[in-house]
Amino acid sequence: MFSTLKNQQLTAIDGPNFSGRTYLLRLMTGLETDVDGRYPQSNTQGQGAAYIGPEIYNAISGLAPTVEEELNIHMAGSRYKEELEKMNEILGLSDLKQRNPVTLSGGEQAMLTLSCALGLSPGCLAIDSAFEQVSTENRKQLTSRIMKGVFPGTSFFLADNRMSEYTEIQETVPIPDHIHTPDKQRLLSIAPLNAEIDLPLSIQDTASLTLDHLDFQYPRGPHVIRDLNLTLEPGRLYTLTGKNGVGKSTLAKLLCGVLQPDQGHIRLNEEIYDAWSNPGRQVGYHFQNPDLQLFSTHVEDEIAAGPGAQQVEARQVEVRTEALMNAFGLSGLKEDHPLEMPFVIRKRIALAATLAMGCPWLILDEPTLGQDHTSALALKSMIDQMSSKGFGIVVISHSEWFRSLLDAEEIKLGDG
Amino acid sequence: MDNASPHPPTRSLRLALIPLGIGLNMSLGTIVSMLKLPVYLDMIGTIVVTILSGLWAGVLTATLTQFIVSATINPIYYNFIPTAVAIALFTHLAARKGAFRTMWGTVLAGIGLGIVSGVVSAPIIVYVFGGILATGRSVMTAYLLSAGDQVLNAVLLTGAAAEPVDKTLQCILSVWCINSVPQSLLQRFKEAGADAVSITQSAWAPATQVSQKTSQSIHPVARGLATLIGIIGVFLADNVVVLVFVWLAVIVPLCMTTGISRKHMRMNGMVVLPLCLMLVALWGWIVGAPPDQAPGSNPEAGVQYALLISFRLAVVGGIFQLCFLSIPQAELLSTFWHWGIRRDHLIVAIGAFTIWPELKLRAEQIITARYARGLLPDRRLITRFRQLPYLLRPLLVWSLRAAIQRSELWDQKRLLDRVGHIRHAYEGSRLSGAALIGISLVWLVINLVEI
Repeated sequence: MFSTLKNQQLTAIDGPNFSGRTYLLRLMTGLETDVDGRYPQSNTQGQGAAYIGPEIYNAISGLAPTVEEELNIHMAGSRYKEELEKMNEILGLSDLKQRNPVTLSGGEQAMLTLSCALGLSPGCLAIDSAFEQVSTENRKQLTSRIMKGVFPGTSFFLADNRMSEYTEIQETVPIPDHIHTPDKQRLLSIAPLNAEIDLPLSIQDTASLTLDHLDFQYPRGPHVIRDLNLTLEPGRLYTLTGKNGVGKSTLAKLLCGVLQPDQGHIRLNEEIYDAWSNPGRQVGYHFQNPDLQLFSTHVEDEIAAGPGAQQVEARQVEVRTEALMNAFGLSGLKEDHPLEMPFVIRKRIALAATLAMGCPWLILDEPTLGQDHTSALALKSMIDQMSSKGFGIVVISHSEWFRSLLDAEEIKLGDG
Repeated sequence: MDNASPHPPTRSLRLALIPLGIGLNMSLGTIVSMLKLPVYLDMIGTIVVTILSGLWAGVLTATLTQFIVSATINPIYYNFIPTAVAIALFTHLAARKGAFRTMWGTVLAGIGLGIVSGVVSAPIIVYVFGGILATGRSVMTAYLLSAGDQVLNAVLLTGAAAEPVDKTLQCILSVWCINSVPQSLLQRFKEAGADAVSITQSAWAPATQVSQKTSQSIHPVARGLATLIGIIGVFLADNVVVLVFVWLAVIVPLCMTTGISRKHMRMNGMVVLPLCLMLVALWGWIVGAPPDQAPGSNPEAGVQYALLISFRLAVVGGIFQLCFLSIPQAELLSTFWHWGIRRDHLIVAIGAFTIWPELKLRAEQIITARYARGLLPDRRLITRFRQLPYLLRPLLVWSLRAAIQRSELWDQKRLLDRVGHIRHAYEGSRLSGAALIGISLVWLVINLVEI
């Protein structure tokens, strides 16, 4: 079955969402059975196989209270010990040794997981969209090392939605035709994103958003936002950048009213807006992990919940829900449980639910996570459409490609 | 998708769920305090794990939760380990009788759970805490005591009145959430109740390749023994002056040298001091005598009794903090290993100490999302109350999914074997350990002689 994929240091597998990519990689590493219910013959020459999936927070073992311990458990007796120690130094993992792995950022967790899996010196390592939150620079460090043959006993299989950004990889292999995922039937009811649909969302009064000497410190914690002044114009696109911990998500929480600023004001059209008393009214916030922002038992209810809670007229809620379900390719899943869907779909449902609220300002954190190239392009068109209707949109994304695609002004936090 | 997985149930799935159950217990505290709600909800993880994975898993979840809360947040909780175990036991029996299949069954189970919890807690509250906890329900206890009730009766009655409401709410919430998560996720856990075999077929390097880890500080066995002897000594002590002396001369300096004085002072300020004030008011003024004398006959002895209980708590809390908080994170695994915790229990213990911060983080994110999506139109008490089930469901689903994915990972990488095969040699000075045990033995003997 894998004859075409053998004998290479790194095989990059190309294929869109639902092409059987994940299933193929899980099959190869012994996590799934083939159509006859058998585990396929291992192609790893008896050296074990490891799989790193897109839900990177669950790829942390949970058995080590510190990063150092996590590495220790995996690296005992490793053939790659020296190489990995060098690599961890370069990736900055050595500086995180005393941290609890579960509290690291997504990018840091991805690098740690990879280092740990390599510590086992596996015969085969499958990496399934696990690098999306790793910075481009660090990702290049990783792939170039792999391609240089630093880990000679391991065959790498890499599948990623952002393969087009991997300039260092020249050649990709398509998914073999005869791969059929066991739940193919179910996936047929999922449609691609459709950016052509005119979203029935509008705003009466577009509003500029001003941060007026905003100041915030966590109780007994870091002073994250210091005297921040900023004006954002409606109908524009912005990207928010800055290192981990610089306060991107804290700012988002202040704007949508989860946190209350210690000092300063948020102004809409120069008028003071009390976000704290009206959480989620004027600024909508969609964040990275979709699992933590889904609350209903049916996809349809999930999307209708936001506008419903804000006393939007029932007919209007229906129209919005219908259009968003179509645009996000979810029409065939109305009665399904949102939390039972695959990661890619959970992400789409959460996005649709945020848009449904019709807030004049939107903050979208990693909207393209898990989405393939075509879907990311469709998302870009949707964001453009919203922006042309007068919505102000702030995007946070690790993907340089996606950021360059948006014609957006960059807001860089951490430079004062 | 999860239901497509062909895997037979594994032992690792059950092991992976327990630390997450502990995390659930602890993160609900976060939710409740972030929403500023007047309820406790500290047992939902225990109830869910017991229903899904059976008695032993439930008991482990219950016991370890009390230990971790004691070691990290508030060192009085370990006193309630018997209560937590009783709750797991009762939940298991109720589940086996099918009580959680109907609404009325669940309510009845909740009331039963409340009574069991009240009855088991009562002797602990009486003998360790002098009759009251620093909560609102102490008013009722005080009233009963001033009316001339026996202290154990008064505490029993108070517990039986207050506990069922809280426990019924927890039972209903747990069952509602279990019923509303995707059934395909639950199926995996139901099957895992059967005999489990590891299905891993990866051929990893043999387990002889293990790392030698050395602990540098005090020998873990000495640490554990000294703690145990020290605590027994405190409960034997019945002289306030001696306890004050031990607190000032031993506990406080040790806390300062190990860098946990701040945490110790915070415990005293937030837990012991309020309780002390309430106890003085209760025994010195409202009742006017210690429990073994007639009400109003000896206020001075009442105050003495209140101070004795308070300083006992301060010293025991200090010992507990010294024992656990001064273990470097990197030495947790070897400490547990030296305490004789092996195999599955070692996995569960280390997992429990590792994962709970993650669930607290998730709980915060879920609340953020709920606000950010405009699903809380205002911040009134009733609105915040109604959020509870909706916040609990994603947290539970997240935990189940994490358990499934982690157990897969453990099997694939043979991590459980690896952790089990690490040898933990000790290469520190044995002198400090011997000194520690010596001092605690002297302390025990002094108190035994006094009796």
